[in-house]
Amino acid sequence: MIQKKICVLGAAGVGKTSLIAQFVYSKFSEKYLSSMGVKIDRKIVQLESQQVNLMIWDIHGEEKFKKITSSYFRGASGVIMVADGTRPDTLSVAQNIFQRVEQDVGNIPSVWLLNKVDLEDQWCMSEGVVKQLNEKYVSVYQSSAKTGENVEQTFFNIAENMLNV
Amino acid sequence: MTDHNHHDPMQQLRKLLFKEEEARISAIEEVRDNEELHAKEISEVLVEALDLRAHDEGLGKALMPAVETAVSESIANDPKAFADALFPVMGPAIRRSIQYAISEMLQSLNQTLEQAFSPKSMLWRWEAFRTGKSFAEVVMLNTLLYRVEQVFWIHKETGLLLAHESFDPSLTEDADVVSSMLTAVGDFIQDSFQGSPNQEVQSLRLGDLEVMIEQGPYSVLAVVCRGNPPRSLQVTLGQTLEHLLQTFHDVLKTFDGDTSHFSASHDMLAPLLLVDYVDHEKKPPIKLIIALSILVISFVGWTSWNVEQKLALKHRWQSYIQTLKETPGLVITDVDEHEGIHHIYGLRDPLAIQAASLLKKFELNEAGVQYHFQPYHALDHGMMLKRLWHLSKAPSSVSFKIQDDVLYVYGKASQAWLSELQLMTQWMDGIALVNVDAVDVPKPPKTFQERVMMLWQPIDSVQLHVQGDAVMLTGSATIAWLQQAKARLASLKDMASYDDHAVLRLDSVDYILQLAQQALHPPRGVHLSITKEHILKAQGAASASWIANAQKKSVALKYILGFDAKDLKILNKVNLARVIAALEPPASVDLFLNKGKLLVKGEADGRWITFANLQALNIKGVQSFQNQVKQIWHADAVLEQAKLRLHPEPSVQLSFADGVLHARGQASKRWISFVHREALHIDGVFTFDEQVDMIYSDEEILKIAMTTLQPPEGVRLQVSQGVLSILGEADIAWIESLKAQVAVIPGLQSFDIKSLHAKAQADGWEQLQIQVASTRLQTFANHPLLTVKDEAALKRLSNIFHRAVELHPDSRLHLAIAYKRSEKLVLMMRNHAIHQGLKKYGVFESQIITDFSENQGVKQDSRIVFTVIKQP
Ligand SMILES: Nc1nc2c(ncn2[C@@H]2O[C@H](COP(=O)(O)OP(=O)(O)OP(=O)(O)O)[C@@H](O)[C@H]2O)c(=O)[nH]1
Ligand SMILES: [Mg+2]
Repeated sequence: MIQKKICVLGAAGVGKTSLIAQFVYSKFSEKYLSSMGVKIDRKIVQLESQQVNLMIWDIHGEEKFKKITSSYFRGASGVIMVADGTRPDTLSVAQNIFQRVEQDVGNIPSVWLLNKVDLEDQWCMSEGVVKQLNEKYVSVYQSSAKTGENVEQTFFNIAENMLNV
Repeated sequence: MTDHNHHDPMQQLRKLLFKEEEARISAIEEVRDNEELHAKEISEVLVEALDLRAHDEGLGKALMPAVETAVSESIANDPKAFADALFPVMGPAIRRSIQYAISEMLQSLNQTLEQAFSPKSMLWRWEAFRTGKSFAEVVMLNTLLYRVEQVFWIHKETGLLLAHESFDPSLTEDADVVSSMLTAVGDFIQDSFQGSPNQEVQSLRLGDLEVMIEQGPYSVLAVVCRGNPPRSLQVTLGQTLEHLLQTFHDVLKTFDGDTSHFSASHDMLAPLLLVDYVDHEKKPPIKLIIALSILVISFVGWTSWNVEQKLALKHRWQSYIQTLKETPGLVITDVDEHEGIHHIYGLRDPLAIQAASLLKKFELNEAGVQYHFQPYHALDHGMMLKRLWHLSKAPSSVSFKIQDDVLYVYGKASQAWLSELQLMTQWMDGIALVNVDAVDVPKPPKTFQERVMMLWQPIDSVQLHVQGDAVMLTGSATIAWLQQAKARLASLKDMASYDDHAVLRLDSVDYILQLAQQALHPPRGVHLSITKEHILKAQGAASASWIANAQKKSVALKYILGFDAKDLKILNKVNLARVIAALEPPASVDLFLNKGKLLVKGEADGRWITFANLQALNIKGVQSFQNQVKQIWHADAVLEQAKLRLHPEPSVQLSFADGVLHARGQASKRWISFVHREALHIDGVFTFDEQVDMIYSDEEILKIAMTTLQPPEGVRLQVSQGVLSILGEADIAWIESLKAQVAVIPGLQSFDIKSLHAKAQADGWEQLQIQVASTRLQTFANHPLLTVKDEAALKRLSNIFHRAVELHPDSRLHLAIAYKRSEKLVLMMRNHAIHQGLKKYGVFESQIITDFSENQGVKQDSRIVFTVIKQP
C-alpha cells in the first residue's frame, strides 16, 4: 500500500488537533489542550483507484516564541493549512508558515481550511476573502471540527492531489 | 614594405619555394600564442599523457598539493555528500577497528569476572525456594541479557515505515505510527537541544526498553530491545543498514510511499531479532563443598552412635520376615538391604493381609521397608473360599465347601446368582465342578408388566407403557373402548397409577368439531357446534352456496350423524346505492364496499364522521365498517372555540386561517404564557403564531431593574406607570454606567434620576479599588474572544480607571487572573483580547499589569480579577 506523510499546520488554537480527531476517531471535544511537539495518527483512505495510508502529523501551533521548525514538514507530500474563521489574524499566520513550506519542501499539494464555521455569530471571513483565497490556493474549504462539515472532503481531496502529482 | 617585398626577386623566389611551409609555420605560431587554443590542444592529449607517466612517483608528488586543496574545499562545502559517497567504503573499515577495540576490552572484563568467586547461583536456588518459582524460571529472569523485540526500517526524509519485523506478530499493527513518531521524536530532540543537522539521535531509553537507532543515507534502522543490548548490536545494525542500502539503493533514492518494493528486506531484517542470556559457567563453588563435607562428617558420627540400636533392630526384622513367610497368601522369595532400605521380594494374593500391617507388632518403621510383590492367586482352600466370597458377592444365606476340586453350595440362593457363580468358577483354578443340588432356589414372581399383558391386550392404534407399577396409554381410540380398558385393569390391585389422558378420543365432541371446522371452512358469521346426538349444528348467517356445500360435506364426516341448518340465515348482498342513501356522504368522501365490508376515505367535518360511525353498522348487509375520513374544520367554528377557551385580553386580536391561529396586539405576560399552554389543545389548531407585545406591570419592571442594575446600598428604585425613578446616593461610576444598562430593561418608558446624587469623592481611592475588584469577566471555553457582556464590563473598568488616574496619575490596572484552565487563559492573553478591549477605551498595555500566579485555588469557572494599584 502507498503511504504518504501529510502535515496539519496553522496558528495555535485554530482546531488542528480537533480536525484530526474528527477525521480519525469521529470525536470532538470543547476542551482545549494546547499541543506540544508532534503527534502522529494514521488513517487508511479508500480512493477510487487505490488505498492510501495517510500518516497525519499534528504539529503544535505556531506562536511568536515557538516557531515551527522546518524539520517537521520535511518529506511531507501534502499540507493542510488551518485558520480560525473567527480570528482573522490566524490566516496571515498560516500564509507565513506556507511560505516556509514552499521554500523548504517545494511545490506540494495543499488544502486550506477556514475552521469553526459553526460559530456563525462570530464569523469574520467575508465572501471576498474566501474568493481571494480560492484564486490563490484552489482547494479552500470552510470547515467545522465540531459538526464534521467538510472534514472528510479535506482529507480525501489532499489524498487525491498527492497521488496525482 | 609590401611593395619592396613584392619587387625583391629573392623574396619572390622564397614565396614560390616555401609558400606552403610559411602557412604552416604561421599556424603553429598562432597556436603557440593563443592560450585558448593551447589549452584545447593540451586537453586532447592530457589523459594519454597522464596515463603514460602513471607509474612515475614524481607525477603523484606534483599533483598532491592541488588535489588536497580540491578535496578539502569540496568537503568544506558539503561534508554530507562526501560522507554519503564514502559510507560503503569507510563504514566497514571504521567498524573493524572499533570491533577490535571492543573485543579487547571485553576480553579483559571477562577475565576479571571469571576470577571472582560468585555465590550467585546459590542465591538463585534460595530465591527459587523462597518464591516458589522453578529454578529454571529464576535463572531465565536473571539471565535474560536482552531481546530485540521489534525492528523498524524507516525512510529518513518522510519518516514512513519501509519494513518491520517483530518477535510478537501482534505488535505489527501500529508499526507505521511508531515509525513516524520515532522520526518526529528525533526531530524534536534535535530541535529542542539545538543539535546540528549532522548530529543525530542514536538511542532512547524508555524504562526497560531501549531503542537503538542507526542512521544511514536515505534510511534509518531502529530496534526496540528489552534489557541491556550489547554495544555490538549497533555494529550489527550498521552492517545490516549498509547491506540494505546496497540492495535497495535505487528504489530508496526515488521512494514515493510505495513500500511493496521492500518486501525482500525480510531476510536481512529478521536476523536482527536477537536474544541473549547471561552465560553462567563457573568454577565449582568452594563454599558448597565445605558445607557438604561438614554434613557428611556429622552423619558418620551420628551413625556410630546408633550401632547398638541397629543390632536389636536386626533381630526384630528377622522375626518379621519369618511371620510373613508363614502368612497364607504371601510367598517371600528374597530379602535384601540397600542404602538403609529393606527390600522384600515375593508374591502376594490380593486378598491376603497387608505385609506392612504387621510392622508395628515388631516395632519396625514403615519408611525403612519397600515391598516388591507380584500379585498371584493362592490355591489353598482357605484363600480360595475367601476369594469366592469376595468375588461372587454371596448372600449370607449361602455356605461353601471344597472337596476334591468340587465346590459344594448350601443354603438359599436365587437362580440368577447361581448361574453367575457357575460362570465365574469356570475360570477359577482348583475348582473343577460346582454342586448346587443342595441349594434351595425360590421361584420368582411374575412381573407387573407380564400380569398386565395376561389380563389385557391393547388394539393396534393404542400403545401401552408400563413403568414399575404405573400404566400409561398413548395413541387414539374411541371413548367406549377406553372405558372398557380401564374397567379391565381395575382388577390389578398393585397398579399404582393409570393414565390414559394422552389418548386421542376419536369420537369426542371437541375432536369431531375440530374435524368439521377443517372440512367446512365456515365463514366468519357462522358458528358450528355438535349436539349430544352427534348432529352438526350451524348458526348465524351464510351464503346459500356455502350452506349447500356444507350439507354435502358433513355427510361424509365420521362420527357425525346429521347436519342442522335451521338456525342459519341466508345472507343478502348489500349494494352501494343503499349505503349512499343511508349515509348521505359529502362529495369529499369516497365509499368502498367489498363483501359486506365498508370503508370510507376522504375529508369531512366532525359532525358527518360521528353520524357515519353511528349509522354504518345499522345498514342491512354491512358487516364491518372502517372510517378513514380525515377531520376538517370550519374556520369560523374554530375561531369561536378559541375565543371561548383563551379569554383573550381586550387589546388582543385573534384570527384563524389554514390551521394557524394568529394572536396580535398587546397582553400581559401571564396571559401570553397561559395562551401558549392552551392554544394547541383547541380542535383544528395545528400551529400557534403569537406576536403579542408584552405589557409589563410595574412590579415586573422593578424586579428586572433590581437584577440588572444591582443598586448599591443607599440607592432606592421605584416604578410607577412604566417610569423608573432612582433615588438616593451612589458613586459616579455606577451612575455613569446607568444609561447603558437602563436601556436594556424591557417595558420601561423612561427613567428619572433627578433625586439621585453622586457620593462625595473623599474616600474615592478605596471605593475605586472595591469597584474594580467586583468586576467580572466571563469567558467561554471554546472561544478566546471577548463576548458582548465582557465588553460592557471592560467599558465600566476603563471609566473607573480613568478616574483612578485622575486621583493618582501613576496608578496601574492590575489584572490578577484566577483560573482553572491555564491553556485557555494563555490563549486569551496571547491574543491580547483583554488588552485590546481596554485599549478601545483608552487604557494602554503599559498601564496594565498581568499576574497569572494569583488565586490558583479557584475551583469553579475561569475568572479574571481586576485591581487598581498605586505604583510604588
Ligand atoms: N465551535 C468550534 N470549536 C472548535 C472547532 N475546532 C476546534 N474548536 C475548539 O477550539 C479549541 C482549540 O482546538 P484544538 O484542536 O486543540 O486547536 P489546535 O489547533 O490543535 O491548537 P494547538 O495545538 O495549540 O496549536 C478547542 O477548545 C476546540 O474545542 C470548530 O470547528 N468549532
Ligand atoms: Mg493541537
